[in-house]
Amino acid sequence: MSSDSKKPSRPASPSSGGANRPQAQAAPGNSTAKETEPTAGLAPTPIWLILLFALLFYWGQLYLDNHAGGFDPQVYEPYASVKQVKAANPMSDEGAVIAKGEAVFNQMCAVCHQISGLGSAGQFPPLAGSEWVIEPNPARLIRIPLHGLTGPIRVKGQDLNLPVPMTPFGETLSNPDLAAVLTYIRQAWGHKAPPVTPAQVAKVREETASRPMSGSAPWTSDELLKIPVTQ
Amino acid sequence: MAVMFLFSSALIWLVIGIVLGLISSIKLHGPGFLSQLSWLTYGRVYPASQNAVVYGFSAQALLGIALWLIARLGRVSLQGPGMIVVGGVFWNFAIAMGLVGILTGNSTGYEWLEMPRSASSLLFFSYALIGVWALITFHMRRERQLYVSQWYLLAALLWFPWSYSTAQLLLVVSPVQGVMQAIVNGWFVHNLFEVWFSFLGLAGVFYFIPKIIGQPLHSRYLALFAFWMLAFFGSWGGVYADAPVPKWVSSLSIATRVMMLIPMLAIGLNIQSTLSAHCAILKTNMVLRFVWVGAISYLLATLLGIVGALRSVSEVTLFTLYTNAITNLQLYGFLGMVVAGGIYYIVPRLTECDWPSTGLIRFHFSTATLGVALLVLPQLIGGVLQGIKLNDPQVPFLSVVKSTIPFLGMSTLGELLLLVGNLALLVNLLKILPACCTCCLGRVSNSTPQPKAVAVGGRI
Repeated sequence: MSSDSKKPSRPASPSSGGANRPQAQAAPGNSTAKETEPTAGLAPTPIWLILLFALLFYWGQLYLDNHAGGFDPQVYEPYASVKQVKAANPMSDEGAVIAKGEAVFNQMCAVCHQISGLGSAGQFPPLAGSEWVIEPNPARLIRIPLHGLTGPIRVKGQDLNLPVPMTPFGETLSNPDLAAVLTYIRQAWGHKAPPVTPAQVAKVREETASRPMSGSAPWTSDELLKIPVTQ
Repeated sequence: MAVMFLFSSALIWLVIGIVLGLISSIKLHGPGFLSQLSWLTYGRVYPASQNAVVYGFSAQALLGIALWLIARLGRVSLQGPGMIVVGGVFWNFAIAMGLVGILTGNSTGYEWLEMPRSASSLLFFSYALIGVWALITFHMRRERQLYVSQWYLLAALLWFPWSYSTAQLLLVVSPVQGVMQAIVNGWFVHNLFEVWFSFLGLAGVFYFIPKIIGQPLHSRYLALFAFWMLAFFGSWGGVYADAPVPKWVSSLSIATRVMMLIPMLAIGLNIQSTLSAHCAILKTNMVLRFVWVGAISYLLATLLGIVGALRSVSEVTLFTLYTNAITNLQLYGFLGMVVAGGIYYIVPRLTECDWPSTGLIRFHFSTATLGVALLVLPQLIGGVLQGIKLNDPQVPFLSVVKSTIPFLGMSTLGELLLLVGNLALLVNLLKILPACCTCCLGRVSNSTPQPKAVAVGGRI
């Protein structure tokens, strides 16, 4: 910007910032020059801008209300709610079985065994990490909810004596329900045991048809251990 | 002088960045170009070019302007100029390391954070060196009354270390999982532009325009209003409408993006009211012209960004040249022009020398303005057409790609013009350095450590 390009336009007042060169007393690069620096006027913010701001802010809230899917992390574009997301992603058969088993478990079993599957020390044995639960062959496991269980039992290396026998569910739960809940506990809490099928439950029911389901003949640990699981 | 060092090296990175950008731009319509060199494949050249322009040029030159403004507006000399030069040397070293890292294939893969970790740590460290002395200078100011530009500068000085370190920690040092990475990256890029660069660039705009026309800025309140709106709404966006993230994240991003209309209008109104009675100066004062084009580019880029963020528009424009157009408008139109104006204004005051060639300045202005227009407009139009075709399942993909070629060709031409224009600035700067050495030496008796500092700039 040499002088010839600027000088004609510049008002003569010393406050003009258009000066091409610093004032004489200004040492280069240091800012102690006595040049006038810009100031700002005091014109108020126009009211229409504030109103527009309020209007846009209001719109923004409505927009979020309509397009945020209730702030649920599961909702993604282009769906508007969790319901739509679930409808668009139907569960696989396996997932449906697990979901059913979880529902049954929370309703029937979690009272004693807890949702965490940890049971309650000295009263109700844990399911999480229990060798009885994750045994690959479910022959022993299926018998327990069918008729109940009583007496001393060794779980995860600890002996405990059940103060009350476990309630039998053979009459209340159907084969598919039993299979679902057993599959659930074999795959929840980090378990990776194979699922239990309704056919397997039906087979055990047949084998134990002579045993009453009223709660008068719960299994004992010794009896269960005699049932072969290595096939 | 530290500022001169930052300016000179920034310009060199700009030229390097544009040359790399030119290579990547040519590759888009001539894929055989330099294709046998793995260093110069598109996936490396493009981010290298972006990093050179973003960190090498824009950030560095804007820091230079920021330092000068902080000292000037506070009426103190710059504190710790030696340390700032050291910081500047490390900064340039970090960028060189980073670019070599990207070109050798060691990119981190995150947009605008591509530099390998060693380079980005060094970058952060050198920023700290520069930033601390800028804050100390601000603290030592003798003029206690703050001017508008100083708010923007102070906020910007603190904003970069926050967003940069957060993004580095969450993406490179201990990466977050899954879509969080995309969210953090989008947040960072958006913050870097909409807040950090905007604050720095607008500080310049709000200084140079009233300074040059010799009138006060129209309204302090309007500037304050815009400042808080920018700071509050500017930092939420950056997540695209159809991004595979929880819907509320992208919706919040869109809603706050639309709110950016308010600061945009406030800034535009402020500039327009300040300038309206003095438009005649625009015809003659080159600095004002540069800054004015920069301010218009800023407003335009913000508007295009808001429009592009809307769901219905984003469906068309996302993944097209449209987004590139906005980035280029921000980088070359807004930052490039404001920085050029700033350099043309500040350098004669630092060196006490006139620019050797007015013709070169005019030439730079014409080529740069034309270059930005040629770079941005074809990409905008081409991007929208490309998006419409991409959404039409009848049109085969290859024909969509082919239809963008004429637009890409024009962009390359624009990039070439930018290169030529900025070379003119560089030539002018290189000419002024030896000339001012002699003119400073004449006056060396009464001035302080100038010749030495100029020599530092002269080495580059």
